[in-house]
Amino acid sequence: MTEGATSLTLVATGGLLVACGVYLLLAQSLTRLVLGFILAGNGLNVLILAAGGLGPADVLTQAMILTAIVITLGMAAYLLAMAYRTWQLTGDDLVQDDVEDRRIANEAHREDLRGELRAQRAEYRTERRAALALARHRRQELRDSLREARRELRARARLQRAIAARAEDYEYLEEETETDTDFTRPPERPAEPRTEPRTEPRTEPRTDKPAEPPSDPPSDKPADPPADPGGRP
Amino acid sequence: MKGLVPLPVLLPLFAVGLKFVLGPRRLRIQTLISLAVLTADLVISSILMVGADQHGPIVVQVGGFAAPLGITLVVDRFSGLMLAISSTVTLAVLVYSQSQRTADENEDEAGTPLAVFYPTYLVLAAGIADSFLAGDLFNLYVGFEVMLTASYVLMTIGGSEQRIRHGAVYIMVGASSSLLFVAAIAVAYAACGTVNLADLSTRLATTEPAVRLAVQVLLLTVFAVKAAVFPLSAWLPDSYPTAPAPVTAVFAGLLTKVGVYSLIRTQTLLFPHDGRTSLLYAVAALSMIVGILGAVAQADLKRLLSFTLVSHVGFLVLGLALGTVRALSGALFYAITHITVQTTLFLVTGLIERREGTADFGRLAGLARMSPLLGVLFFLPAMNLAGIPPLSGFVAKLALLQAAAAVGGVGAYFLLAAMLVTSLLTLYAMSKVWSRAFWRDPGEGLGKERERQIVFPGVAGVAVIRSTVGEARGIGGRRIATGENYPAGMLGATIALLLLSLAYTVWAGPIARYTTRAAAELLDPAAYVQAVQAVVGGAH
Repeated sequence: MTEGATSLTLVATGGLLVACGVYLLLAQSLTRLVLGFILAGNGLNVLILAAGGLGPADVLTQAMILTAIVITLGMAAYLLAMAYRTWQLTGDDLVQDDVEDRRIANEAHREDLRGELRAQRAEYRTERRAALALARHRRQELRDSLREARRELRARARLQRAIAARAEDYEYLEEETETDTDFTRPPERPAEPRTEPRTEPRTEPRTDKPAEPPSDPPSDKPADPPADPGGRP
Repeated sequence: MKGLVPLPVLLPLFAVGLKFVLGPRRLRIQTLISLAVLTADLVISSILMVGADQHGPIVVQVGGFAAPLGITLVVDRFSGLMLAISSTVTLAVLVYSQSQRTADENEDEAGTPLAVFYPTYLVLAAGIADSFLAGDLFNLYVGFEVMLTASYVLMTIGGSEQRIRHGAVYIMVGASSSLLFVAAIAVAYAACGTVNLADLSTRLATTEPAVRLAVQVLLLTVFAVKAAVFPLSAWLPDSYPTAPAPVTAVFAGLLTKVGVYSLIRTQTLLFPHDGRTSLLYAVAALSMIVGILGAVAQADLKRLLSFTLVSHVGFLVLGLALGTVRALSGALFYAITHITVQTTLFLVTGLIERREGTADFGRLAGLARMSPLLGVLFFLPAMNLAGIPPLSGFVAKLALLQAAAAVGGVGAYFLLAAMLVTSLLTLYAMSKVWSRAFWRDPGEGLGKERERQIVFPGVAGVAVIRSTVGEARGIGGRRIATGENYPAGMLGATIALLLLSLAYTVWAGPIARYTTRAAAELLDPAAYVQAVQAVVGGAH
């Protein structure tokens, strides 16, 4: 160490070389690692040179640098041989992952997948629950409408039975009153004569369900409608 | 005495040269050279340890070069102790691996990687010795690099896909921390104009606190990576288990301890009065707890042991964090215990692999009945690691607990609790292994294997082919030969280390006195600085 002064250029060069070397040392490819090692090694040699200070040549720094160069060279040769061997064995020169690291990474990945699966299952469960609720609702609706239809059918059947009974009554009445039977108009027969007599007897049995089937008779007998509205009120 | 100091570094390196001259064929001579060199290493280290204890730090200026340029090697009590234990362990593992190799070769042809293994192993030993001996920051860096580069080769030996993959992580972490080390040296040199540890110690005291803090944090980070202290420890359990059993054993025993050694050395010597306690408290406690929780979760014996290694490095950092003589003494005692015990455990794991073809204790069963010797060899170090009373692990942990209690305060009691919890969980992990691999009914363990059994009636009876899924690979990267009989060398080395760890209990008194002296020396950097400057000639 001479005057305590040193060249800023030397220090900056050394620092830059070391920085580049460290950057390369972080790579996974062995070739890059070799380059990084050489760069950083030489950068440090420059730093040793800078450590010697300016002024008359410092013999010790040169001796140290020479030794360090030899060591770096030997290491570089060894690393290159190893990179070549890796290339022979695996087809690339990448440093492979640590087994333990990989195991831990796998475990973490598995845990991630498990979490994903759990989330999916939860989602599926809520979806399923919603679908089930919807289905139950639909079924309820269907059941309701079915019940409605059945009630309607029953009502219609009741009505038909009532009509049939009325018809019998009417026939019976007709037989009793002994009107002259005109055989030329059988289709109209139930319609016309039914109008008058039907009004009275129909109101009596119908007291329990008077307003129920308003549109039924027309579907059964097309001839009824003109008669019905008139007879019902 | 001084002439011996550089030898632990030089001898293995010369031996490596000699090995390459001899070529790969002369196996017997090669074997003899390795054994002779490491035995010599052990003898020299022991002499140095005793010498440093009796006469104070031994300082050598290599080659006689003057102060700023020369390389300083220092042996004090701490580095002497570490040198002795590391050369013991390297020798034992060498015997183990050579015996494994000769046994494997009987069934397999000699492969080329083996020609690389032993020279690299010796370079590793030299690097470790250099790191312990280094008296300046840059030489410490060189020692680390020698050791780490050798370890990179050993880690990827055989070049199988798995080893290259795990090796890439290990190497990139090592290389990055080395870059940081160079940065720390540059900053220290710019601030103080020296890299000699003794000079740095005196000069850093007078530099600006902010600069000192920068150097301190950089060095802490670098050595925490090498020592695998918790937030920077992720690389270790990933990379160590893939290496062959003897390599893992020596890595686990020594490499992290070199990091811990450097951590303790630099922090006590360079920053004797700077606050670091609360950070180190947190880091030590987290290392212990997180490491042992990692161990509890493992199913493979090698991985489990690697995690306990991270956890128990926390005990050593704790000694540094408490910073008293008692605590450091306990930490040093624990360091040598742990080096021995951890190495033994990995060697036993190698034997288990050899017998069963796997170290996965989900598949092992009934070993205690089938191989009682293996049971004893595993049980004693395992209990030692957990700190069960008569064993040396207990003695060391007790020393640390007492030190924590003596320091007092919320932080120290928190650490005390963390220590106890860690010991309990270690016991839990070890008994888990024991009850699965050793105590279970032999039929239970095979599980998957049983489905793979292919039974088909042959002419002479029934042939059963049992395939093992485990990829137990030997030194050369080939599948290891499994069998009932253990080669004598493998068994012998393991038993020797086990006996050594038992000896720590028997000679706990002298060892504790030695570590106390070493700790006192560590906490008084002035003596170290004085000894070095007397030889080197002070700051230039």
